[in-house]
Amino acid sequence: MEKCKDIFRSLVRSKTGLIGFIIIVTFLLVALTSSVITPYDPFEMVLRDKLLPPAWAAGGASRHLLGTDQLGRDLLSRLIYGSRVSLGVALAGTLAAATVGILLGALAGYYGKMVDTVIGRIMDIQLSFPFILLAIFIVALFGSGLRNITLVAAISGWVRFARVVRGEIMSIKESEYVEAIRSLGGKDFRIIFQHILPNVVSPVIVIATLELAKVVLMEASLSFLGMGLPVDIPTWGRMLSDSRDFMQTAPHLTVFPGLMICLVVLGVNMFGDWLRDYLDPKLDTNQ
Amino acid sequence: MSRYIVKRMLQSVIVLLGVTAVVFFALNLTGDPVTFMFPIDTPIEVLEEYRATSGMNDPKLIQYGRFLWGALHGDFGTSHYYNQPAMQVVLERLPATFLLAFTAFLLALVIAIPTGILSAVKRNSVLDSIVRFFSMLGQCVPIFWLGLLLMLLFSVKLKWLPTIGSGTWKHLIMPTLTLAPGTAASITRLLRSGMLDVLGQDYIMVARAKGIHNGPLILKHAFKNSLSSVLTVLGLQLASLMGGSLITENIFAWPGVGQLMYNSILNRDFMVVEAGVCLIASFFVFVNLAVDILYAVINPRVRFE
Amino acid sequence: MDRDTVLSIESLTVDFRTKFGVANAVDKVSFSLARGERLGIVGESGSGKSVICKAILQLLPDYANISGAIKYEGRDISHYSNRQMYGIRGKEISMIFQEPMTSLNPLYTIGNQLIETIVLHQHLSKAEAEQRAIEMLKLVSIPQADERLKQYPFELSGGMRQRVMIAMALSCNPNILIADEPTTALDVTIQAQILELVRDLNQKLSTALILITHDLGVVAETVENVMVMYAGQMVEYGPVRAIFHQTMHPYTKGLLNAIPKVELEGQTLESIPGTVPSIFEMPKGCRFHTRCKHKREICTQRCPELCDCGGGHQVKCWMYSEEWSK
Repeated sequence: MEKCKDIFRSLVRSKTGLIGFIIIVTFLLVALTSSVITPYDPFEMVLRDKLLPPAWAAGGASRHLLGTDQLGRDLLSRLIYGSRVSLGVALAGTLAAATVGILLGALAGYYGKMVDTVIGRIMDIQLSFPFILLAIFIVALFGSGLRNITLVAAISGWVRFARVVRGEIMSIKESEYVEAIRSLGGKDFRIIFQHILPNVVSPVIVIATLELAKVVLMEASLSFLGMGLPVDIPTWGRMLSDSRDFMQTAPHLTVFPGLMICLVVLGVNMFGDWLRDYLDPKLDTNQ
Repeated sequence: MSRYIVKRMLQSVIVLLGVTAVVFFALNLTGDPVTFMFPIDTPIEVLEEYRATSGMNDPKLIQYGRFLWGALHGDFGTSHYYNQPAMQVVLERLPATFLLAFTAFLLALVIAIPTGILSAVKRNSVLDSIVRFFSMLGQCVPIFWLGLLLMLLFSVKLKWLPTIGSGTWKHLIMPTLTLAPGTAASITRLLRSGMLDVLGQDYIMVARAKGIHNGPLILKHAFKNSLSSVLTVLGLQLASLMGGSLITENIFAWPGVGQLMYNSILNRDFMVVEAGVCLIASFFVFVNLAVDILYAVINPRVRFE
Repeated sequence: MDRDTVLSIESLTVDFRTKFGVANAVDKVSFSLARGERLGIVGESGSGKSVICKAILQLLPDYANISGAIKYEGRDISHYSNRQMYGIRGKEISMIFQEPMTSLNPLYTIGNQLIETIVLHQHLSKAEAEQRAIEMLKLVSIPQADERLKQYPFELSGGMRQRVMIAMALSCNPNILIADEPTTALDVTIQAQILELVRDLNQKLSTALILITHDLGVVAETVENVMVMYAGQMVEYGPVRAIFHQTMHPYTKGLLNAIPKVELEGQTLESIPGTVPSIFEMPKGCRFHTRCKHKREICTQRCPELCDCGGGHQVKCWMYSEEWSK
């Protein structure tokens, strides 16, 4: 209980952390209640009302607060629905990246030598591919869709988790603390679980938060290029891509979806930064 | 020093081998490449004949060996889409990407270096807070959104700049402005944290105690030291711009390697994809190597170890 | 005074503004330094001895508040601007620090860092500066001086680096050299060498010396006068012989008793009970009273006044005031 108060106090003191937290919670709530709060069905096309500007602009209607797209679909509803999609994909992707990363990092750190070298080389090879190229490469090979986007997220994101876990394990493995336990007869496996894992939890949480933001961006980028989720699912990236044809007549279609992406990523990053400062200030998150 | 260079070069070679292997096997193991190279209704006999003559019935490893040998000579086969040697197609697009990447990088440096230094020197001031906010913002704004917004403002509304394409310096402006902020933000953050680290060191206090003026103190003593820690990442940023300008090229129809990769992947033009990816990866590896060597030159300690 | 005063500190107080409140690090300290004099400032960590010297050169962080006067050759430099301080630091007053291993910039040669100072303050040409640098290295007994110039800091041992620091500090003939725990980070044998070097140079060049240390043993052989600091205040001041043989303040006595001596073999080593009070919660009255076995009520109420006991020996303790014997 005391810890909760302490966390809360620290969060409130950091203005950016607080704003980030509020943004995240807002989007989470919106995503969770999306089926209830959307004013219209995101898929409902009313061609009569197509390309309406936002309610405050000339020609807008108050029934469509943010206007409509080229097929008469209400923009606000689609944005709300899109938050569900984005956050869902982000969570799945981050989880996948974390799992793969922790596993490989643990193997590399614990067994060291050959295993470590091989995994290290794989990291190097992977880092030689620019991120976006890697992403579309994979999508082109395996197809688009949620499962494959999660795969892309896992492949492009595991390295940071692996590095941290490997580092922690290696430093603890050699520490006198562990040597003392070993000399007293403690078993290796238990050592890992009881002593190493708790140390790993904080940096992993921080990296996972920051990775979440990256996955949101990645999914949006892929959807923008037409290589993300299936066409009929409204995601912010795809909405942006579609808006290109209507920039002259309906700029609101370009502004708002991108704004959503930007806000979510900003919020998660702000919160992630505060989280890092609170849990593990020495963590290098700039790799 | 030379032992260090040799070691790094060996590592680079291994990485490059790995890259070529990944590219080759990934493309070849996920579906038959031959079927994509021809129109859908091509009779099977034609495909079979092609397979036999182009050596595609041989064991994969032999094919890989052939591929590797060709790659070393710059021969990646012929693009079935452009009917030219694949590597040539890629090389033709290289200058455009170079131009964009370098210009964006330079702009980013011009913005980031003074900002990062000042932000660290005047820590916790109003300037520092503003800088930190904008550098975070720069890393959060999606590139494609920024590009479209710029297009909306400068092309559609103000009509100052041409929307897409290349050819004049006017065409270069928006793509550069789209790519630069993200990189500038990263570099600023890095430089700021590097400088803060250095400014807390003993030798900076000693230099002040010697009477060194603030200017030379920051530039000669602090900046050079923080630069050496930032250099590796700077190199990566440049390489990343080279390969990652795909989206920007796509938005502005900039005829670079990224756009080529995108189209070739859609067109299943595997030869070109292989050539392009290998080239970009090689560039990455090369930049990494160069940066590591540069680091050794600047930091005398690394040379002796 | 047979020698004229080069530095005069008058009622110097240093406070730090922190988010936990205002911390007082130095409380109304006064002393003076004559030309060529060797003064030792002794005290535990946190006694404020380093803060005084950093205040002299204005090397304290922004959140430090300095009040009182710091008079160098008659001019009050405590309110000098940074620009004005450029002419003092390294040129009139030099300082060397505790950690030789991290005091030199790892990316530049020794020569570069030596010449930098010389060129800055003495406006010599590069060749002349190089000559002077070699002279200084020879002065601090570094062999093969001209080769050393081209070496990097990591190629030198701790003791050598400290010698280079001394050479750098003295290269422009300052009037005062402040040495902040110059030997704490070095091996005992090197310690002795460095202290001897510093003493020699003081006599050769008539540079006044302020030697800061927590080790009374170090000052015994090196300085003429000693100032003992506790919790930001000066508690005793006097010629080194008087401090050692006619010790007055209980704290100083405690410090002396804590030095292991061969003659006392077999006896328990005395230590001063308790700990230094927190910088945010200084006790009322005499700051040492919480650990003093002679304390009386007046000690807990009022801060002791300075008592001059003759022969340049001063102490701040109620035991030596008139009220005590009543």
